[in-house]
Amino acid sequence: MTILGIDLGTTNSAMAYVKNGQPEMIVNSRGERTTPSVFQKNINGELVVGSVAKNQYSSLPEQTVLEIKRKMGTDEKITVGETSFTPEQISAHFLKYLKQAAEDFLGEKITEAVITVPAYFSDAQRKATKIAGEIAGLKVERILNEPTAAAIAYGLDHPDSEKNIIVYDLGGGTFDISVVRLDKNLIEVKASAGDNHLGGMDLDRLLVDWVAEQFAEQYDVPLFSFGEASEITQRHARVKLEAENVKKSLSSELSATFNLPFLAVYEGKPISLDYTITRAEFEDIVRPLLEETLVHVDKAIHDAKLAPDAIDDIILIGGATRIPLVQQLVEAKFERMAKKDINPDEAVALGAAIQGAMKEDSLSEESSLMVIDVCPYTLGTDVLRIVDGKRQSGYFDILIRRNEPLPVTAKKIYNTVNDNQTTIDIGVYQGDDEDARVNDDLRITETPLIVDEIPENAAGKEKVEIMFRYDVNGLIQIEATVLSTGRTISQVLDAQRGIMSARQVKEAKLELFDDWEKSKLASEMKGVIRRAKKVRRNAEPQQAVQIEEAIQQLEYAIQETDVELVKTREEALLDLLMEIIE
Amino acid sequence: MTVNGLLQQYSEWVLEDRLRHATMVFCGYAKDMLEPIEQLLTYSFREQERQTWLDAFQTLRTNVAKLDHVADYDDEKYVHLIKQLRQEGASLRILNHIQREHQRFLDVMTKELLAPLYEPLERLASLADFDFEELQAIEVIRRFSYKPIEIIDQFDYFSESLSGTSIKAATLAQLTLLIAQLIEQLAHFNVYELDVLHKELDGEYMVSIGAMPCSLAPDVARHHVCKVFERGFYIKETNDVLREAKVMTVM
Repeated sequence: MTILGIDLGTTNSAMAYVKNGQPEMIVNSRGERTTPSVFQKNINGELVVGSVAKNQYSSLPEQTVLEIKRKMGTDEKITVGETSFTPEQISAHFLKYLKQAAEDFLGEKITEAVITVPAYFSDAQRKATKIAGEIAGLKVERILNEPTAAAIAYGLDHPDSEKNIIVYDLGGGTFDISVVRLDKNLIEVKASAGDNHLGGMDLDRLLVDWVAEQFAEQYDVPLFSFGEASEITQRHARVKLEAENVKKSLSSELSATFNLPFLAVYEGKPISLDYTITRAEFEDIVRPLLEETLVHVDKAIHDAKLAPDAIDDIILIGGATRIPLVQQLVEAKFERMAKKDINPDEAVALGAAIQGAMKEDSLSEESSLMVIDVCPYTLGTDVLRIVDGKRQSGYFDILIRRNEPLPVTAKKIYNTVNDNQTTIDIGVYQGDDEDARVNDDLRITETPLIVDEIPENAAGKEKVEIMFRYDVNGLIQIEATVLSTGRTISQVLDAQRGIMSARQVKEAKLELFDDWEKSKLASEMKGVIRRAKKVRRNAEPQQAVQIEEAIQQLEYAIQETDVELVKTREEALLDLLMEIIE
Repeated sequence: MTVNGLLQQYSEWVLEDRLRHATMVFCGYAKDMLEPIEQLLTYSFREQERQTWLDAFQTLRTNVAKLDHVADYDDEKYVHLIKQLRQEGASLRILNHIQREHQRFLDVMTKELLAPLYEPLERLASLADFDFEELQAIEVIRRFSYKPIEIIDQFDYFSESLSGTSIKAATLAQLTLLIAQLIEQLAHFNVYELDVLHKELDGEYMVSIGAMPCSLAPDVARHHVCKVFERGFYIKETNDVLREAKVMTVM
């Protein structure tokens, strides 16, 4: 049974599997190695994902959802048309699409997957990702950090390495950095940092701005200010597409040209743009943004308690790392060349596939790896302290520090603060080592875990041991034991803020199945309708009317999303066509 | 090389040479179009405006000239390959077949015929028992038709710019007709235009770049294409979309 490796990205997703001990990418039904993470309710009310949804986005912006990954782990409801979805449900549609594509590609049923997430994803975000997998009908074997996945892909190719490596991941919309220790067959993530609002798309925007500046300088009018609204939209689309091309060209050429013939007509004159930008000019424009990434690199190195010269190898992943300046900045920082033998767009999915294969033992003994990941946040509870003789609540007391290797268990003993206190509320907070006080933003549970039935006693006499456990999937378990009675209360944080309950997951699963079937049916029907229209063109007038009526009835049933009715009317239409053809 | 390997090699050369030849046919046609367009501009505008548009037209002339001046095919290599086939002991059936195919190929090349592209290659694949997919015909067609399609885009942009002037509708219609004839030349690549205008938006073969209010296109139904910003193209024999059409729809 194949375990699918899925890189569930902000802008694009990818999947891989292990074949004969080697990871390989899986293409989707359109033959693409990556699938845009775009979700949409189309004109006919069908739910579509991927390139088709992306292609229709500009006409249906209110019915389209982009970058849902940024909302994972929140309780925000996303309204698409008249239906509202949770972020998990939308992600589940991507996963269902990938699962289906993998099944078509491999010719077997897929029920398990390893899904990657950014290293800085919180517990709630990880849990939401896991739930999305469950809704899609996938048992999520493991939630894996993206840089860890890349390191795994690297580790498999270099099984005898004993090194400290940096995984620098600059994707379309996010940046992620990890320090990883590779010790023969052991991979240990020592520290992670990142910025989830920095990526290649920001660089495209800077290039569009540059073109607009050149234009304003030459013609003394803003590029996107004149003409009909539709003309401006077209103009912007052309410049943006050309900016992407120019950015890509500048990775291999020393200069590139924005060649935009007849881009606009201004004051009766046709305007063609022909601006050449050198790589040096491009680098001047994007340098400040790229240098920001080095701040995060420093943080990760510091957290890993390493000096830059202790880094042996640099792995660059994410499409934007093809930009030479990115490579130069990182290489200058560590005074060594970056490794170029990994495809930056595919390493994460390949690593996830290897992780999946480790579980199902489809990798040989020699190439099997052990992965140790780290806790991305500091976890603790809130306590009351005596400050200047006064009781003050809301202090952050740390149980698990950031970058502790996983799984990690931490225990601390707390005591009652009031006479005859019979309950203690345990709040769970997710912060940083520097946080001294808790606030609502750091809280990760809707309600605290309540430890009750504490025997009545004098203040400070009753003690409660609290245990936090953070597992390899980044999920938190809490246990509290009243030491005098041995009473234990434990809770896996499944009722976190913004996280769906088990019942909701079950309902969402059924709903997704239903939506998926309807959409699948509708797209199958498109082919039937196309064939019917072809027959209608050559049919006798009377028959053409009959076909038209049957098509209309089928289209009505599709709009009503009545599966049974669609099937009945499809049958009627096909019977009619058969009759006419015979 | 084995007989089958030689036949596969022959097929790869035929595919590339047919497409190289298609580029030459297309380029010649585009150049021929420049004169009538220039005349249309000369007669359509007066003095300063005329000069403005003739100057702008030079961009188009320059870009057409940039279309690769592709060298003609090298018949010698085919003759050599057929000799090699004999030396490798190819059967009489194979030799007869390849000679017939080669004669057809020469006819297409010398007479600039519009002939099927896939059919002879599929016949060769079946004769040599290799997978037709191995030729990666779609990618080769994409590579060769890229620049001709870019030229078509530029003619369209030019025509679009002209539509905002005082030019007569009849003159613009003539220009549109010339562009349509240029598009027909893509048939030499086995490439045809996708029919999308007034069709319902479909992301399978269209990319939306925006939507305009229905007041601006009252005759077009909601979510249907009211304007094609960049034409889309497909490969006829396989229905593979080579490039999606970039469109605007009605809100």
